[in-house]
Amino acid sequence: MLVTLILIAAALRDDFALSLVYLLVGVFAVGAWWSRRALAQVVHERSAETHAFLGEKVKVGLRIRNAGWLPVAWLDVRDSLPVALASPAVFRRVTTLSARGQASFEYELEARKRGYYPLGPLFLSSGDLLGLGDALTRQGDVQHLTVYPRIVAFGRVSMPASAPQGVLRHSQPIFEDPARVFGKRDYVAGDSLRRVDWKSSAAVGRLQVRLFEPSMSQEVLIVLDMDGDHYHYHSRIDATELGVVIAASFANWIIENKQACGLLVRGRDPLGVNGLPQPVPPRKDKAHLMRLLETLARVEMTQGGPPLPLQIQHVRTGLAWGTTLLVITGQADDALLHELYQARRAGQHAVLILSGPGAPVAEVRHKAGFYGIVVRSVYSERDLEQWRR
Amino acid sequence: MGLSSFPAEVHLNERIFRRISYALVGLMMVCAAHTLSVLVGHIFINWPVAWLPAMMGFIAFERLFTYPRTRGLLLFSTEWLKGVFTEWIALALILRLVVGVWHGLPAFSEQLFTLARSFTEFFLLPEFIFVLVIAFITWMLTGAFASLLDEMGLDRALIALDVPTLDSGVPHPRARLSALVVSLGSALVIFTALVRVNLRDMFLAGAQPVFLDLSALSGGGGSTLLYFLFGLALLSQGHFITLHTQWSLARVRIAPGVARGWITYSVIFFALVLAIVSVLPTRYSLGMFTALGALLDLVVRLAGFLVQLLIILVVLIINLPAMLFGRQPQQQTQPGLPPEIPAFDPGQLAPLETGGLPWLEALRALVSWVVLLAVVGVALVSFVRQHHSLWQALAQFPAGRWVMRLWRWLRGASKSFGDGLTRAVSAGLERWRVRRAAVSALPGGMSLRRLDARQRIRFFYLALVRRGSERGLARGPAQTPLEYAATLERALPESDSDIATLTDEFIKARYSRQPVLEEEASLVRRLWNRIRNALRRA
Repeated sequence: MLVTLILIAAALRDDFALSLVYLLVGVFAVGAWWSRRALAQVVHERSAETHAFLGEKVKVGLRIRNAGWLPVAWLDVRDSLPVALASPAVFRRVTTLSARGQASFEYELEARKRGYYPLGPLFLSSGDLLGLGDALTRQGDVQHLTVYPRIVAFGRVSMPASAPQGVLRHSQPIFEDPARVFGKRDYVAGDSLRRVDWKSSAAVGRLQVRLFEPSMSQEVLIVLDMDGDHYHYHSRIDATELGVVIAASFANWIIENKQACGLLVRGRDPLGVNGLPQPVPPRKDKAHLMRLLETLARVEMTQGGPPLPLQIQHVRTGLAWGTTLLVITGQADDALLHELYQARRAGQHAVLILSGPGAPVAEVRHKAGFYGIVVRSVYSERDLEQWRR
Repeated sequence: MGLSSFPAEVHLNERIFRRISYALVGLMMVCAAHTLSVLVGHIFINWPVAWLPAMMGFIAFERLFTYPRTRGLLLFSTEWLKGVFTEWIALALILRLVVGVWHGLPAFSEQLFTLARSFTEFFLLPEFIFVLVIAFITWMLTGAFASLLDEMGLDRALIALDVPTLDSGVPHPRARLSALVVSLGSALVIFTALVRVNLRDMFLAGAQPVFLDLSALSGGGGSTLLYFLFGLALLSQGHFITLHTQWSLARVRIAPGVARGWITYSVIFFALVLAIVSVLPTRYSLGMFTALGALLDLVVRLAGFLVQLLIILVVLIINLPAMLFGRQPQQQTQPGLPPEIPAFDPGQLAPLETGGLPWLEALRALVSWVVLLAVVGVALVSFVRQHHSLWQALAQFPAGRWVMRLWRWLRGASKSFGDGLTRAVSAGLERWRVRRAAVSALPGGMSLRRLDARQRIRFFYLALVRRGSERGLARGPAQTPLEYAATLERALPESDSDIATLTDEFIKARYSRQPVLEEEASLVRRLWNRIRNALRRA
């Protein structure tokens, strides 16, 4: 049509056709310029919590602002969401932005499953008013939300430990703690003078000695096996998730009891070096618990990789004498049992927890009994009730 | 999934779209009728066609009003025929009444007497038949627009979802709407062009075509331009409702202000385009179009010459057997002589008599050429962007590859030129800002001319420090002037004495109470100029 109009203008020596040419091309050129320019000046901001506990509702705020003077006639806002947290897996709105105008949106995510989820990317699409060109799209950034795993509050857990000078009571008097006085008695020959309570002796008029409560410190390294091949193939997803719940619950219980807890995971960590989770050495404060839970929130099932016994061997050499190795897995082969036996010989303890249905409990228990290793079986989350308060 | 399941905003937006679109269609019909009336008035002077736009506007709005009521009827069914027949009886009577009143009430009363004599004589009036035909075309076109707008709505999309084969193979309604707008617009452009030719003299007296000198907006130009403007606005509305339907089907929540914002921004957008179009040169482009027109004439004449030559050859071949048998050819023309090419009239290329200054006219002509070339360039780029497949097909040929290389080179060159220009402007602005900051940092923020000799020396020294830092010889926070001078001297050994003298003068001006003479300030200025040149070379 443009060529026709130019030819008409030339044939008739008339400026009317030229005005029409200007109008048509102007509409196209101004439209293309407007839409590009306007979209380039749109800025966006997403505000959301970065961490959430299971079952919490997380509010996500989106603020879209037009930083320029050109209005945006239509703006298609699409935020991609994780399927596990939202249905449908996209938040989509259409709005218009006046010059220097802004629009705010809010949506809610439900932390239904532990994990490390991307929020976004945010796509902003716009175009010209006549639809002469293709819609333009800008891609925004991605934020992440960590959903912590489920924690079962434990109360009655008996775990072998032999590290002295802790805060937990111990049945063997060899581990008496001078900081835990539980009574006094008369002095008998052979008592250490360091046990004499001079103030009480002065008050009573005869020598009194302090009685100390035996105690232990329970340093635990939780070893979580997330190798899918080590679980029954029918229930490997549920079994590994159950393993995460067990690990998180034990970590919580240990640190609540002011004991040190470390973590070694054989799995995949999206934030780990080369996708491998880094071993977390035992510590005993709340911040450390959050660190453990964050790692447990992120880890994913893997297949293959360095063998678990080898990883345990590398890590346990740096652990203190008397540390308990709490190994959570779907099955235990001879190599693993042998490694745990070596740990026992080195003065450490080992507890094996078989997670999920389909685990060969009887067979493992038989073999582990030979090595002197305690074996527990957790078929489902209901079985965790045995350790509840 | 029914219409009732959609939120109220969706229905509101659809209602706004329909009202605006119907108004635009009505206005387009009025504009089209106006252009046609100008052409009719141009050919038949005695026809009072001034009422034609209003009448066609009435027909268009009547059709838009009745369309929703008749769209559910089956085409050519009894109900449909009854409705249309009744509608057209009423319309024909109204139109006849208006045509009768054109020439005044006395003339109409005379015509009413003819009704008593002959029914056919009253109704078979040429003017009335013409108006009736135009009214029918308007009615049909308006119906076509209404039908297309109806197809873009959510209602039709829902039906298409249920019956997917209903619209298969048919172009999208928006594409058909564009085609309809452009087709009708093309006809109006031709009408407007015809108004600019003295058709009566051409056809009645057999004279050469004479082009009338009309302004862009007169002779139907204004109404045709308005038609395109309203047409583009209608396409914009069509784009909105297409997107709106897509969003609604995807259950996307649409903000309540989108429909109204679309209208507001469309008005702003078209106002902006009109403002740009109105300031672009058109009058001064006529010299350019004269040249193009002359070239077009030359091409047409050359084509005519070639056709004549071909005819002679054909005649010669036909007559050749007859000539061989000794008969005279029937054709009286001399086949050996080709026809003359009509002489090229350079007078057509004469510049326009605008009465302005020659250089100003040349500048305006130059501007118009640049604008037109830019317009063609923009159109070409847009075309190429929209037709990637064509571009790829072209790339398979050597010429196409060469064009692509040239295009890439042009893009690269223009980009690097633009980047370079941006860098140069940014650097210049930055330098200006720094200089301004340096001047304002001087006591009282005075300009250089107002400074006394002592302050000028300090200013040149600060300029030395600033320029030195730009060249990677920044003065350290703990460096004394003499230490900094040593640094500069190491970097610029050829200017060591200048640097030393300038530094000494600065120390004297800054840290002593000795009087500073104008000659010393002038000397420092000369030294600074030499050091600056040395810094540039470094």
